[in-house]
Amino acid sequence: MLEIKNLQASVEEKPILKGLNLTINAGEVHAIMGPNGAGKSTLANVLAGQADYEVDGGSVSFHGEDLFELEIEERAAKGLFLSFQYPLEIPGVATMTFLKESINAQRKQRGQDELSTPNFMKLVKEKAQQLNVTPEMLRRPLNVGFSGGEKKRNEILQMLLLEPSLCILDETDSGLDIDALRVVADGVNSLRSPDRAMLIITHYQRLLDYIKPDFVHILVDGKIVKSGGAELAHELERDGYKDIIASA
Amino acid sequence: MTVKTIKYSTGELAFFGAFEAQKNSLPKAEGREAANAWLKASGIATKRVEFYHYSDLRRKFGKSQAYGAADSKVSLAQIKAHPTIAAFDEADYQSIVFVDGKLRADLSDTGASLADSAPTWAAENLKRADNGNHIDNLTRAMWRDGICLDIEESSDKPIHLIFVSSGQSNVAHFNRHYISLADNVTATLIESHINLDDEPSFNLHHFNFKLATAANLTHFVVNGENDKAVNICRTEGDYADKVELNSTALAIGGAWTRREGDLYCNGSNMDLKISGAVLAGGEQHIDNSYVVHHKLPENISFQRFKNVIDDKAHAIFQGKVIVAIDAQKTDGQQMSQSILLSDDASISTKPELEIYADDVECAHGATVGALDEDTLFYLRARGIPKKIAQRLLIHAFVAEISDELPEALNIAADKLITVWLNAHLEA
Repeated sequence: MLEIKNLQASVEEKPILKGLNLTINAGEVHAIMGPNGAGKSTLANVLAGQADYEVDGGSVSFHGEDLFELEIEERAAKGLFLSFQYPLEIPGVATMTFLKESINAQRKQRGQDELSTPNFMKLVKEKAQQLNVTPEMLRRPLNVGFSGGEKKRNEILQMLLLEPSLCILDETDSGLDIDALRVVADGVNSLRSPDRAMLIITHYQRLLDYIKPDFVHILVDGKIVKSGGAELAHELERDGYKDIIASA
Repeated sequence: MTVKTIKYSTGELAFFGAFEAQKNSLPKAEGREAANAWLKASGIATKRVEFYHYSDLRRKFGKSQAYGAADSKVSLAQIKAHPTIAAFDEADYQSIVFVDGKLRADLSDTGASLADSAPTWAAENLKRADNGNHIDNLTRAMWRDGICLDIEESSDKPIHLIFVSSGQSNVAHFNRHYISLADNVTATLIESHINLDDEPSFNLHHFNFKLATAANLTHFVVNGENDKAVNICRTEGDYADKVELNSTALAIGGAWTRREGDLYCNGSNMDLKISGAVLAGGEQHIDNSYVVHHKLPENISFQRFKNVIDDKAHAIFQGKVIVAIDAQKTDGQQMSQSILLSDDASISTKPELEIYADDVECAHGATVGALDEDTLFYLRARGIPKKIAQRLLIHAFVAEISDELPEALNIAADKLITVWLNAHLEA
């Protein structure tokens, strides 16, 4: 589904990713862990198309297409979803309007009919309940006045509604207490399916207790230095990055 | 004594010539000759006159400018089909229709013409010695018609003043309007300016508002003209104790628009909101320039304008708050916020405070920027195409102005903003 080859990227001319290789197949859940500044968020943002990140080399193919040939919105419509580390507050744009515009914009790009308002409302109500997102939150402007945890739940709500084929979760566990973490993880797990892949970017192993990865990769200084199964996350938690870096 | 001689422009000569030729056919009123004499002595304002620095009036009066009455054939159905008017379909209103500068009783539900009979306060105002304002004198000299509305009772039903230009090419029309609200009266006024064709139009309006104690006026203006229309509107407001004013202007059309006002707080405990949203593209020139005169204590005034400017359009906000020495406890605020959508778009913003009292709370601010890239990225990352994301963000930006309107008017404003955005940022 996603094939990253020798990816190099920089921010403000500072190289961050220095030849990253990663292949993700449908049905797989991959976790990327690494110390601060390793390039975890850069990877997420480059894949989503954030313009502050410059791609200097390498290639990424997504469902067989050159990802970098696609506009940001086209990537989304083709199934790429980034759950933001810091979801933005947008005053004046109602949450419901935003959700409806998103769903219908993607459907339109895929040549599907737009959802009718009643069907849309029904869908939102059902998914919102699953994530403890209250009707009151949905009435507010997008993320305005939301706590850190509410913003993250709202991200996952969008993910459940949009049903992407590739879910990229950028530090989704940050700012979540243990109850919220469980709700979010349940939401994410409900999306696990043989046609869907996930890329979970996280600092800590904590989230991976709830969302069990098939593969764990350690990212250090812009490169994946070690890959393994779920047990690698535990190793990392026990020994810290230092040993891993030294042994890599 | 030295006599200053002015070298008139060909456009000024055309205006003065038209005045001499037409003054006897205009409704009889004291004050015309004096106003014309004032204009002859000062000339029509150029950008050297501070208040018109960004909007040179004299250049708008060209040598080929025509003057005169019209007898246009227009139907109510034609007017109601215009998108600006159609946007108000859900608002139940009484209409007052002007076509090419003339009040049309045949198309209107209510209203009395200034040309037929002026109420005392209007007659007094018309012969008043000049106050040194150019638009005041231009309209005082050349007015052909105007509305007289003395509103004595509150009503939920808005009055919709519809100014239509039709069937003429570039003929100047001058109106003076007199609108008063009695004590405790609450009223809503809609004011729409439209063209029914693609011809250039040229309209000057002078509004006199007199709001008595505790009167409450909601006034919503839409400039929805074609891209050749020149529209100049001036307001003089005389406000008594406890007046509440919500004046909101939405510009979605016109080539060259100047809205200005001198608003006088002649009482205390009033709350004046003067707001506007400007959506401009092409080579539009849209100017909002207001002076609020805080003469007495304990009044609030808030001028707030939001501009969205694309292509080579130019928006202007000049706001001034003058706080007299007796006007203690004044709260005078001004805010101008602009989003520029292209490199050639421009905004001139000049908020001013002139404060003589010592116990006041006054502030002004101005922001200019582009749409926030991170916010756009967030919307696009959810699959929303760039143009639609821009529309959403711009709509949210200007909705802060229109959301202050009563629901029926807000619905209309929303429709008009949507139409502009859809046409302008085609997805």
